[in-house]
Amino acid sequence: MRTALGKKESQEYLGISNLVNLPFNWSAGPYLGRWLIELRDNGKLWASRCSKCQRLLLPPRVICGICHVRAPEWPNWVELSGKGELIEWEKVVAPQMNPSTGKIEQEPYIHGNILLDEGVTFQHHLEEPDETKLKEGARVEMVLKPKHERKGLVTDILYFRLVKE
Amino acid sequence: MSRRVGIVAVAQTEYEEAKPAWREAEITYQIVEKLLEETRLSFAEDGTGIDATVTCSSDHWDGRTLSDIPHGEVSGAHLRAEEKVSSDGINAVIYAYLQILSGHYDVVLAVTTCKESQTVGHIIENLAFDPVYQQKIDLDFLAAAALQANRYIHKYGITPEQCARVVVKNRSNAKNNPVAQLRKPVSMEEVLNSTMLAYPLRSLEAKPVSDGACGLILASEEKAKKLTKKPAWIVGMGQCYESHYLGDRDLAECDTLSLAAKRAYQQAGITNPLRDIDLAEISEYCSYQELLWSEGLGFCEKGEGGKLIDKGVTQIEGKMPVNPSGGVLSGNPTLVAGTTRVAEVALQLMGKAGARQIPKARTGLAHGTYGPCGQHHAVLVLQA
Amino acid sequence: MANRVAIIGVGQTYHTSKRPDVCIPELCNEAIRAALKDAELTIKDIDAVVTGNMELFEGRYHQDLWQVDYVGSYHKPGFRVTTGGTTGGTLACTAFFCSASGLFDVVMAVTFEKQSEGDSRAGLKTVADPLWDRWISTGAIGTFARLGTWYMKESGATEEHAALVRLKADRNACLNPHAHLKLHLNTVEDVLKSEMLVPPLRRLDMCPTSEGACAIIVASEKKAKKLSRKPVWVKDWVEVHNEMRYNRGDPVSLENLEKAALTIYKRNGITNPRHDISVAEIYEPSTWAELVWYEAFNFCDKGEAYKLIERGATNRDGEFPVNPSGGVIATNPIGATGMIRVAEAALQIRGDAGAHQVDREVKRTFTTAWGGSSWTVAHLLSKTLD
Repeated sequence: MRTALGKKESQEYLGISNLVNLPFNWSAGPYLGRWLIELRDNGKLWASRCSKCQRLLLPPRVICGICHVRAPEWPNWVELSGKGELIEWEKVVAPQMNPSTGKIEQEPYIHGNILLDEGVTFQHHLEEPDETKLKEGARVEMVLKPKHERKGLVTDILYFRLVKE
Repeated sequence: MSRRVGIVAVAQTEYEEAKPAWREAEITYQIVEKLLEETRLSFAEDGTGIDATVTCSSDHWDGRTLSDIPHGEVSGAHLRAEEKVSSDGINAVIYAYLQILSGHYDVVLAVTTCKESQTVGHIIENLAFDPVYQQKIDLDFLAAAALQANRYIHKYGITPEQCARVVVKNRSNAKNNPVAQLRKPVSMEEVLNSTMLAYPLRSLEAKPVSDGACGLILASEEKAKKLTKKPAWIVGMGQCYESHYLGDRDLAECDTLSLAAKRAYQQAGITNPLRDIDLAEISEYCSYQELLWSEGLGFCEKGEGGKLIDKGVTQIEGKMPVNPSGGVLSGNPTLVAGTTRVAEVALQLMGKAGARQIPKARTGLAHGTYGPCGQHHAVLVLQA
Repeated sequence: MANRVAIIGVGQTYHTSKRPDVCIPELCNEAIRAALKDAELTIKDIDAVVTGNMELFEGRYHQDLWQVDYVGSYHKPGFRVTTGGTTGGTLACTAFFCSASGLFDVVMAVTFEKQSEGDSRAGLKTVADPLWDRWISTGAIGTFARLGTWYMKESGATEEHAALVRLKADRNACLNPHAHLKLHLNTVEDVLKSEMLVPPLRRLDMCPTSEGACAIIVASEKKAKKLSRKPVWVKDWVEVHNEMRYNRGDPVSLENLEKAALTIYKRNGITNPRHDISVAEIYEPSTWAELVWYEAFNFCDKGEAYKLIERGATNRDGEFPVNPSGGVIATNPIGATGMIRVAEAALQIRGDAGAHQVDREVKRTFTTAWGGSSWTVAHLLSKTLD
């Protein structure tokens, strides 16, 4: 390795460590905020539809970024059934640092990309821990946490489980 | 091939202590929507629309890598050009200016957004200091400013009253500014008795935590004239970096601001700032800075910043009104402050400054700064 | 169109996995010294300095401020632009804008990355919306695995073709003194036996994380003619971003890549890229990306990219060399990577690339940078002014 000081046989390189703990309190805003409240209080999953290109926007947001027109506000949203089919999945085995807590999470989990029946995709954990039981196109459905455990977060959805035939 | 570039439209949100009802990008969209409405421009790519966007936000303040993803989404970035400046917002305007001067684009949208209320500023600011010498002594921009204030006061005999006068003036000016955050005037006594934060800086002498956004549309001369009756032309621009190590600098001087101003004045043909410029919007994050930056901008000799305000030169009815908008002290978020200064000067030159309008404003100066003790300064001179 | 500017100097550090011997500004200093030497200029000749890197990766706020005393921006104008993975390519554009503006004659752009000084995996996770999918984001690897699976299905390409891409990159990197990974791979088997990450993506199918810096010096037409014997003219540049992707599991969009290439080609009369362009330095984070992007950039028809690599068309001595420097798969200091493409392309045009020089006249080069949510920046450099 060529170094700034020329090659040296043994050199102690000092480093300065710093762990930064930066707290945040992000506003959810009127769109995502309402979406989360609906999930928490009524167990419902919503999307909005762009009036110009007609695609579903999940989550609902202030404008359609492609058409650049304002997207509908609550309650002119489309209710989703929470059912769909599995497009693909990934078993995450390597321990991951959770950037929200700074902690390393060890538990392997499977997260899936789901095409909801209404025609929009969504990512979440899958209940099934055994990859071999997963198939492309498998029917899945949303499972919520019990109401008293829901906090107004995306994780108020517990996971998606395979629909039993 | 040199072209003239003008600011054709300006939009600001109300600056508030917090905007808990909105996400950062939703605030940006409020600005973009206003600008599109006013100019009737779209993001069309056939030469009739906005050619590119320059956003300005901070990954640290937004808590998000690539913080321009959501800001870009609402400001027309889909399949179009967008770049993010991470320096003070005046540099976003400057970058848009350079993009048009280059001939590559004709119309550029610049927007800066920051929500200071959602996180803790002094932790972020500490990360701007080099990790070897300055970070570990827990400096943030306020502590560094206090160091500078002490040095400046000691070297030139600036008094606490002269510093407090800046606050009284700007807070009084803010009452005429419908978007200012702090619109209630304060008295000398209130300033001089407010809580000591970092000696000698008291709480009313430092800018408050603020949320908001500011945006402008710049256009080449031909298009600017079609978009508005009275563009605010950019006639001079200067930027300058100072050394990072505070110990290497004489904090009572701001030669880099003088260098930046010199470049801008040269381009604008300004030889006597007090005579040639009708108003200035300068970025005073703390009271003493308005005095010090006034010296750097050549409004008075070195060390005479205190005398300048005592003589009333920078009052709203004075020879060189400084911060008729209320300035940063009346509440601007970091980063946004620089863009706001340009927007305010543009409004003055366009005759749209309402109750805070300086009569017959023809030439204005906007100043932005970032970094500890003004490590980077930028100056724009605009003309009607 | 823009006022004309040229690249008159380029410099890079010797990229490697870790540089514990220098701090960030010292790393950048190496690159700017190399660029100044290349241009035969001193820092006094530089009118402005613009910088960039991935903002949160090293965790520093206003990174450009610490660098002032090391990159020569002391008492000079400049600012910082940060656009994620495309930063290097964007900063090249920034230098072009500044120098074409007429307000600065000679502008230096510096980009770097020193990832070991932060937690870049966490840094990448924070791209995701904190309230939507940050909890589930796992970074970029799955994306390219998916791309590979899709491409094999669409075109009939096999994992061997991806391995051929890696072999080409490695052969080129071994001839490039600045490249990071010089693995001396010999056969397809050498690549195929590397660790499988997410099928079909193997470790050798992905770019490394490198530490390094890159600097380029750009001058206005008049100054370029005066200061440089071999100015590399900048013909055009384009940036294509997009709306936020709320589901990062969705397929990598090729729209941005296609639009960037199409815009450059249309504006510059390029109808047959493999013929009208001499060399391409594209930003390919993965072997699969290189294959798919040959098609996105219209180097060949859809479904034909693997045939190009099969017959060695994009080798250094092939009919259309792509990434003679070894590319991103061999060297990836993220903030600098986009700019390294431009620097390497400039060296090729000048005939100064040394051992990895392509052996044909290089008249025009096409360079790209990629990042963000599939953003693309592209530039067109030319040996001559016209």
